[in-house]
Amino acid sequence: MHRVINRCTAKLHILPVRLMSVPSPRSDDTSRFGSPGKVLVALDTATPRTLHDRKQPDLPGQPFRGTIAHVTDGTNNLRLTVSDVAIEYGARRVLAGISFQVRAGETLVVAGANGSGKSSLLRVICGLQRPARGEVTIEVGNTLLRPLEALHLLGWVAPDLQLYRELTALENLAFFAAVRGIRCTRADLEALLADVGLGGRGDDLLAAYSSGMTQRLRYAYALLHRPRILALDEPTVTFDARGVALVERVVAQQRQHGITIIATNDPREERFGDYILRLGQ
Amino acid sequence: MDPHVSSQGISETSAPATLPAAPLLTAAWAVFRKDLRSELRTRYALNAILLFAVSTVVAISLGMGPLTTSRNADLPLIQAALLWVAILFAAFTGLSRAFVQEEEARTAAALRLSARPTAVFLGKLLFNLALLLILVGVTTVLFVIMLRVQVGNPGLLAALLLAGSMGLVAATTLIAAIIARASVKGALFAVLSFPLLVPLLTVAIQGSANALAGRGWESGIGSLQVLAGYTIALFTASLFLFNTVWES
Repeated sequence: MHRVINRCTAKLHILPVRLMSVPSPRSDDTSRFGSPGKVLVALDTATPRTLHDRKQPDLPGQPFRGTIAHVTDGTNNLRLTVSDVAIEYGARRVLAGISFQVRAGETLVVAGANGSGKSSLLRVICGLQRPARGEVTIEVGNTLLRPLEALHLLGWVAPDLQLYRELTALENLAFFAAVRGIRCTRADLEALLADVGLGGRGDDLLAAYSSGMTQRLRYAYALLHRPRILALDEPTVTFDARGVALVERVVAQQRQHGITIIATNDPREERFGDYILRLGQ
Repeated sequence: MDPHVSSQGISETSAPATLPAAPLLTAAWAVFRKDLRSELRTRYALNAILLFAVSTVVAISLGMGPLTTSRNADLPLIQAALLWVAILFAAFTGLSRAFVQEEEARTAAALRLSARPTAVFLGKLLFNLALLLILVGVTTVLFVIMLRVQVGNPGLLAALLLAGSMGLVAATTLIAAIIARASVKGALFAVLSFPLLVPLLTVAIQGSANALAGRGWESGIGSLQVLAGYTIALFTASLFLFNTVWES
């Protein structure tokens, strides 16, 4: 993982990016935002752990909120932009004014307590949920896509993600490969299952899978089409040590291939990120 | 360590190559096959509709006994109405399952991320049609046997049942997708479907009565044309509206 990052940083230049706006709640709207003056969304400038040659940009008159790396290698033609996104459930506003941009080769960790809106943000990024305001765009080369137009670029692993329990793991993968237009053989799918640690268990019904095995299969589902943007919600939940190692390998590989967004409330998982977005503070 | 797991991560070669998008009909067929395989293993919908169909026909036969023309001159019309009512209410119990099951099992998100909406709609529609044709076949056979129904023009009756089933499926598949996330799914499905199905039922019952009475094909052509037009109109409207429903 470090080797990959070091190779990328050789071509790194720094862009100032407003990672998010933080609307201060109005004093007359405490029912939706909590007590006056409490910040709904806060930003950690994410002291880099792996990108070691960053600089603070000099931007007079503009508050510095964070930096983002621009990797100029072969995967540079990919950019995920979240613009002024707000998420509401009925009258309750969960997130507001979220804006950031992530480019190929980068990993963003979205951190926050339960209910802070991490999972909802990932669902919005993947097009599974409509934001109350704002938009998500994915730029590939000169093409600008909405998430629902870019399903072939998106992979999602989350506790919410359920596959068909009445089918076997191989039947599940074969089905999703067929609807995605992926030509593959049983051997291809068995190899993918082996990659995620489910070798030899492809003919078992999902109903017989443990929670850790189900989580591994979620990775197989998400990686089936080699997505350029991988959204991982609580990526190591239910995993043992070997499962955590799998996540590390997946994130390292994704660094060479595209963008990774990780939502977590586990501080240990923040090590995966080049940047950390803290919600709910 | 598993030989396929490299120290660098998921091996590049194990992930199959990606095409831009699956051909629509291929993806729709995959959805149909998946639903069929799931249904054959769980029998959520099949058991419900067959149980309802059998109990309805048995209840009618026990309550009314074998009907003969000497008892009522409008017998074919009554028989046709009873047959379609039995089919309709049995269909109400099962046709929404294709989408409701996706939402209840929380597999809809995986499907949304993987398949084009039109492929999902066509696959589910095909599955509902297969389910309904099984229902119609079983119900009709039971109906004819238990009520000792004389079918004067079996070919016309079969054509009307097929055309009526296609119309019923075209109308209810979109509604099943709409109600799948609602809390009172069963009631809502019937409430939303029934107004749409009134024209279909009226025409199908009238045409089926002609077939049971043994009238010629010319007496059923009009009904078949109306049912075909109804099916095409509802299918086209559903196809255009489904994207909005599925992605909302």
